[in-house]
Amino acid sequence: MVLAVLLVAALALITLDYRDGSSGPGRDLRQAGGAVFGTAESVVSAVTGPFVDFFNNSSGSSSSGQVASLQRQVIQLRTELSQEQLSKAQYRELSSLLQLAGRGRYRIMAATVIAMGQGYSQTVTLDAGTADGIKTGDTVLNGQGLIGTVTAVNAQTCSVLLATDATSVVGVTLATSGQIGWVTGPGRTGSGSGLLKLQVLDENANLSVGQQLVTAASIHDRPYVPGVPVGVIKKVENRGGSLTALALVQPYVDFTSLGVVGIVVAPPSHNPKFSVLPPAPHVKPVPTVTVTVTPGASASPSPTPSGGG
Amino acid sequence: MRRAVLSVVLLAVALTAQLTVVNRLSLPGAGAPDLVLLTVVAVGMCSRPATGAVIGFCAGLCLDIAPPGSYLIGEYALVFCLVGYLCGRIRGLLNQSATLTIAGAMAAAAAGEALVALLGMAISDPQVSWTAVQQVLPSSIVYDVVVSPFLLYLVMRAMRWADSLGRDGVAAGQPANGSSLLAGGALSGSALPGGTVLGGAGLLGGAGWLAGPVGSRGSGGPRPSRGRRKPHTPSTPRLRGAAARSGDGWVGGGPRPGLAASAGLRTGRPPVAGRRGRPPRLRPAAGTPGSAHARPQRALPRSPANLRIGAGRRRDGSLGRALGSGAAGVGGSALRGRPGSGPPGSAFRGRRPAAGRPAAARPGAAGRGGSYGAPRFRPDTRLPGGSSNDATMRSAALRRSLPGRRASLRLGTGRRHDGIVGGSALRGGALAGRRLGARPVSLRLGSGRRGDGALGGLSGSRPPWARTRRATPRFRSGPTVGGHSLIGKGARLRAGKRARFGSGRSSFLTTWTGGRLGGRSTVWRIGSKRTGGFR
Repeated sequence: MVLAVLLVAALALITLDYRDGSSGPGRDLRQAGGAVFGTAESVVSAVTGPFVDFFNNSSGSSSSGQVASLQRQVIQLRTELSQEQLSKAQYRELSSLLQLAGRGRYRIMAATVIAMGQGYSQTVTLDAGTADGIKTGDTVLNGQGLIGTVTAVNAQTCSVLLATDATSVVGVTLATSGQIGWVTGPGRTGSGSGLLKLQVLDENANLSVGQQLVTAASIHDRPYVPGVPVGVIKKVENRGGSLTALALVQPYVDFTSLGVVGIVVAPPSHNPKFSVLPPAPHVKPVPTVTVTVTPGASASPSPTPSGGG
Repeated sequence: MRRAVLSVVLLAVALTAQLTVVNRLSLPGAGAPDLVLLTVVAVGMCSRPATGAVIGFCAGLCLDIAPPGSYLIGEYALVFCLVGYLCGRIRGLLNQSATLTIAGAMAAAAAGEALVALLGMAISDPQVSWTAVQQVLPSSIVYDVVVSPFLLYLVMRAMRWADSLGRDGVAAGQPANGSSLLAGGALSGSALPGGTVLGGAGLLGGAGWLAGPVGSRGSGGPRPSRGRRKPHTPSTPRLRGAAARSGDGWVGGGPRPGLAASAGLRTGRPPVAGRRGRPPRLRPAAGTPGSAHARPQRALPRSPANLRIGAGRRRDGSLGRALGSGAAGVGGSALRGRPGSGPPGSAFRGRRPAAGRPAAARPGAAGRGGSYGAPRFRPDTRLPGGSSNDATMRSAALRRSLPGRRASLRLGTGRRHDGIVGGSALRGGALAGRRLGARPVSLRLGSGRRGDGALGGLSGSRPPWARTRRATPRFRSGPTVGGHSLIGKGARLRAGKRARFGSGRSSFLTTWTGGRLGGRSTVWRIGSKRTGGFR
């Protein structure tokens, strides 16, 4: 009996939320939940955040000799002040973020990731809310590039839909060529394989590995302000008969260890175009050292003993 | 109530830990353990299905609306509600062993993960695609299965702790950790040696002390595996400090009202028991009549000597009843006998004892002021078993040196809730009861009634054999059982049926405890008769 009532209630909630997700009782519920749990999350994250950051930093540092480096790091962190170390890391993140924002002339609000979504969604919670001037649809970025967009705001927290989420669609512009396309997230996948999927409207577009993407301009700069670096094309998929050109994009941002992020509260007055992009990963000319083998040079070791003999 | 609070706290901790810590860890593989799901599983394993469903629903709803809101509101509520219900259901099936419980929790966690994925694929399609499920689900299930036993253990420990908090307020002298197993085992272990020798005023008077431990042992001290899974049984009798409770059994008079009946219980020491091997004298303890009676409104007049053997009333746990004018009104359902031949409810038919004759073996103890000074058990030759006098007890009733005089000492009247020496307390006494049934001494240990026994403790669970024992004749009021006719005919005050329970079987206690308890290592002695006993 109780079970039946609860199941019906759950189904009713799902239906209501499905019908009008952005309004109605679902929104009120989310607001209430955000008020309660957002506060709890920010409090808890203030305590547990350093540990999580430490775990993520140390686990992602090196693959070979990981045990040795971990042990070294543990010893180091026990002898030194770990908090100071982590503040340094945060400082680095923040400074790179500010540099990026300065290049693009974004006015940003710095925030910290305090929670991450559950299940198959790729969402995070930031510790900035309406009190800090955050609105739904603001772009979120960090020192490396685009992170996502704000989907829900509470008084103290906001929820961000990451660019890697399966429902996320980001309009992009290819650097230098200016072709327009969009990038969709892969959803939740194993770590390291989260490549975004790029589709370019022009099926004859000349995509090449190493091309960079920035966000395209949106109407009223929502949900994405223009000019934020997204990623770099890693693999071009040529599919015959497809209406769009397809490619896989390696995002600039490491979505597995998000720390300090910035929320763009005021877009730039003009489109920064590609000025924010990091220096293009130009193909390094492989130094082909041509060694001309001369008989004298090659034979020089041998004549010596022969000469000696 | 404590469990509800504890569940809420556990789930809140799990929720915040999940969102702020676990999800942010970049664990190998795409998945991560779902602490909320595992907590729902563990809490569901400790509660009833409806409770589990409610807890699961609430936890899922909280997870749905917690800030990085994921899906549609209600998805997790739906799934966790089902999972909680399922866990509550399988708990009853799986409480046979710890391994099965852990396996059940693992299976429930895996099923919950699969349900989440399935529901997500059904109703929030772009987010939960088949490829994502393929990548995430296996590792998530692996993490859940790995973490689930630990979380289950922690939650069950916490639940037991909460239960022990509730019990500590009631129990006196119970170990502080609240483990019912430990409490039952320790106290029963210390209790029964003192209780095996039926004799001595101290023991008889302090039988209320026996009542607690045995009662708690009888059904409140479950087996280890059972107790861990079902730490809170609503009908679990608890070890209470107050002995003068409904169903508490007094063998002999209770202690003075002013004295705590549970003095022995509190200190954990048995009252001074009679020595073994010595002909036990059923001496009237220093007691107040009616102190063990559950209903004070039917209080009996105080009488000095009240070695009462065979309470005639339901729920009164005295070994015998106080005689007097008040007793006539209260029942005597055992012996609604001929007026004048004996006090109603008295186990012993016979002439009404003459007032003023000291019946007690210890007149000093017995002579405490009562309104009714009549001795109950006198060296009356016509009363075969009723004498509490030393001489009579030795000569007539207990040692039965006279062939024609069969002791008709009846301990335990077979009434419901009267907890004399017998009943479910003496689960190990199945053999004893059987043996006694075949003997002239119709000492009945263990009446097999619900609630009786446990030496006075209320045994909450109905013994499985109780159903068939209802029609057992208790006290014959016919002439055969009369005291007078007993003498001549050599008849005994028969129990009506021989084996009360457990005939041909080993003792229930032995079976339940795997042989750790219930063996007849010591004996109850009534006179020189070994009537069986328990360790």
